[in-house]
Amino acid sequence: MNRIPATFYVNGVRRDLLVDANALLFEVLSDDLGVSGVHKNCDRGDCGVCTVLLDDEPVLSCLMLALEARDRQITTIEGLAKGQKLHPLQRHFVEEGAIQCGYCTPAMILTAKALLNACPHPSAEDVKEGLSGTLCRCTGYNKIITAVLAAAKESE
Amino acid sequence: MLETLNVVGARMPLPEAYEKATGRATYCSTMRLPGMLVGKVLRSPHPHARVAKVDYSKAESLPGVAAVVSGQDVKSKVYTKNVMTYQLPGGEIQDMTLFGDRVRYKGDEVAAVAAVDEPTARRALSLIEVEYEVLPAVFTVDDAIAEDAPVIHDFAPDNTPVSAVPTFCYGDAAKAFEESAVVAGGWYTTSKQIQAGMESAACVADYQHGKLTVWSQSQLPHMAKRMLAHVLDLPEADVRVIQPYAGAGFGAGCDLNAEPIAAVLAMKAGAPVQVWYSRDEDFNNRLTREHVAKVHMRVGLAADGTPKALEAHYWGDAGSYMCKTASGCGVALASNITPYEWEAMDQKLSATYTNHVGGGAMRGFGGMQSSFVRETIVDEAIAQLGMDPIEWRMKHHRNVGGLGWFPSARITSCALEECLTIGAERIGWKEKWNKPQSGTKRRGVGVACMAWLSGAQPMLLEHSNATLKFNADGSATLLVSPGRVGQGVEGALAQIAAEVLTIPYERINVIAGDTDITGFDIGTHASRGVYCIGKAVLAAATEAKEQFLQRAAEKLGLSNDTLVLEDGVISSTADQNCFVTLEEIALGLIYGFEHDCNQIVAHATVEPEDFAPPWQAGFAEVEVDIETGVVEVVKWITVHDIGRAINPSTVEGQLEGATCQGMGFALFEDPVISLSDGYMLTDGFDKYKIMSSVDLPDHEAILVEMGDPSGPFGAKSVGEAGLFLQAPAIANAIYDAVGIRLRDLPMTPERVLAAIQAKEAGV
Repeated sequence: MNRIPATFYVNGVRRDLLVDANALLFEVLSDDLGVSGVHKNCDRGDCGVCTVLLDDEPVLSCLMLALEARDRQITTIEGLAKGQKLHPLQRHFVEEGAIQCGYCTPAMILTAKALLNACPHPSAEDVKEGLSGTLCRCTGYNKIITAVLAAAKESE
Repeated sequence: MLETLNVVGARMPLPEAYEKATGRATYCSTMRLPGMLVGKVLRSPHPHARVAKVDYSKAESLPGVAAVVSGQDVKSKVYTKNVMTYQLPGGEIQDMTLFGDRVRYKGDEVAAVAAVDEPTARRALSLIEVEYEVLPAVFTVDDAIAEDAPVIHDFAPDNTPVSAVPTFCYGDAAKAFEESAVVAGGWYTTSKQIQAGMESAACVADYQHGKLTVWSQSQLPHMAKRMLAHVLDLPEADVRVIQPYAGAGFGAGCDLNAEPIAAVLAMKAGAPVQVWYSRDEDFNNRLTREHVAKVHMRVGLAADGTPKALEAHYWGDAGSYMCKTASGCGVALASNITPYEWEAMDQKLSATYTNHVGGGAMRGFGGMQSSFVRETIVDEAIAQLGMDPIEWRMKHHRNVGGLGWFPSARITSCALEECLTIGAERIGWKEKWNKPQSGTKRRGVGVACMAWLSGAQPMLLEHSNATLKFNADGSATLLVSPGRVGQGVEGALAQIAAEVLTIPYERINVIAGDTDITGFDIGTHASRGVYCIGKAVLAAATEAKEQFLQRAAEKLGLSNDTLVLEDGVISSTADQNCFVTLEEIALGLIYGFEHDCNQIVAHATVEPEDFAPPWQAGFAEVEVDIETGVVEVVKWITVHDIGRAINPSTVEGQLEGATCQGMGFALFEDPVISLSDGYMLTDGFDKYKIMSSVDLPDHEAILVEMGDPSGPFGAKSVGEAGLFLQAPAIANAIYDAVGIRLRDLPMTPERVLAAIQAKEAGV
């Protein structure tokens, strides 16, 4: 396999790697860079659990070639907290009880972050629409929606 | 009203939520151990065959392959992935052999490889040569019980090892039916729902110096350890099961997945091995919901509504291995007992083998199939008498002291009437029920009720242990062993301990998830966590408190009974200035210089006697499009008799999440099994729909807290309770809207429309 030199900016840190031409972004993040907060489930774009942000836009890391993310800013869940200080979305997810098994949580929080960038004052319907690409089997979504609305309110 | 407490009843954030929110939480699928290999399973392409020969020499010589295993590498031990077999004195049917010489569904395990990466592992699988002698196969119960059906397991020549076994019968049902004014009943079918947590089945195994460590998603780690020791022929002392967080359980963690295979690979390779199913592999090979394929039920009511008789036959489609199919039917029958005062009950169960993936357990085990059938038939009979379904339920439910889910169990508390009253008000029952509808979109409301359990005692062994050990600063470590499936029970257990010890929640550090560290526990199933493990924690904390009081009495020169513990301070009831803090006592017992060091460690074992049923009323308002058959749920309300909510936020979360799963079971979650090879055609979320945020109806969960005398601080269970009533209440609401009775789940638009058309045609 031809390995190609590539530079990624993961949570603001430059990483220079040799990657397989057919390596997926998920594989590079999780296997080469040891990013444990990126999860994977369906491998075909149904569940959204592998979502990371690429230049602040949500992308499915299990369906994207790593080389497509070359020279771009990748944000994973590890990039949100500042030391021990949680991002408001993380804090509200914790406080509202919006996390159960937690497997979808990184994707949910990152998707919510992109949503709030695009739409800082969302309605509950906006949040439902904005998060609809990520499945959660545990929570029934109510507390997730409440947490996102609370985080939006806080930034007002 | 219950008295207000300090920590119990507060909406505390879960410690584990911080790890999960920051991406720091470890799951079996995110583990990356040094030198870890990728394990892959070779699966049968045939639904039924003899495995004549396996030759893996070519696969073994592929560069990058560390180990290949098949039947020749393991001792031929009969076992079951259903580790709950240890909870019954006689056990449940064990009918599996690891890499045996017979495969019984398309996907059955034949061999496995461990290699440096996934592409190499996949190439190695393709190099394994297997000779099969293909056998005829059957995919439905009706085909499997036909006279000339192929025999799937030799010990069950009619494929039905459990055949019409009478279960939990009492009274003279025939006479009670004769005395009934109305009798309603018929055949029902229910779905083989998929647990569908967001993490596929995954595990890691490592074997070093004669000791096996398995990282597992098991909800029942101590029994998983015992079964692994059995199937691998190792001493139990040499097996350790560690549970990282699991990407949900919902019963999927009640059975082993690839743990035995990962272990055999790790032992042969001398390196850690991870087996992580792809999503379609998970759909096709992870044991599904206990599949009660068909149910026949009749109920009889007297002219004044008195419940006379309930007669039922639950028939399970076990698939290729029995696992929990028969016990699922048994729990369905047991859970039919609690809700109403039948004069007589006559129930039986059967379970039949077929050639598709077996039935394990899913949240609402057996209770889904009892609630849907019973609550819709009862609704039908009530309607024939022209009575209000809420009033009938108010009048005829069982009550405290009455028969429980299992013949020797008695009801310890019941707040069903409060649940019904609150829900009826909230949904607007009086204004909306039984109102004539016209137009193409018709609205209706429906209600259903249930009583569940808080642990499966006394039918099953429900043994729990809890240990508290105190640090020098008066904080404590709490050792317990629930499943770690996101249900939030560890936080609730910390709240119970903190309440007893009058110290802050944050001062209890819960350690779980390692069979080498924690005491024995059955684990998480049957909605038992807060009740059963909570009782052990309550007992351990009470014992610790006694030890502190004893020490304080010695230190203060007073007797125990003149002391009181408040806010972490033990003081004399006579003189408030005479006191000592828990911290001072704990410090002195660890870093004391009076030659009396004795760290406070308190341990408790419990086997609860009562089953403490939580009661519940569910209310649905629906809109049925009579031109398309589409049912829209306009509003859903769960009113749950929790006894006491240790953490109301967690309880609501359990109920809200379950609502979505219950809606799926009711309306659209529909595993489709091929009738040509038994393969599950719905093998991904593109084909097997689960609820997303935009599909969400307006739904809410309301808690009723009146306490249960047997529960820790009055608590009863919630884990499974939230998903029983969507199917029956929606079915009853559809009847209220358009006058049709549906007997098959899920209630898809096709089925609804067909029933509407049949009604219009007068069929």
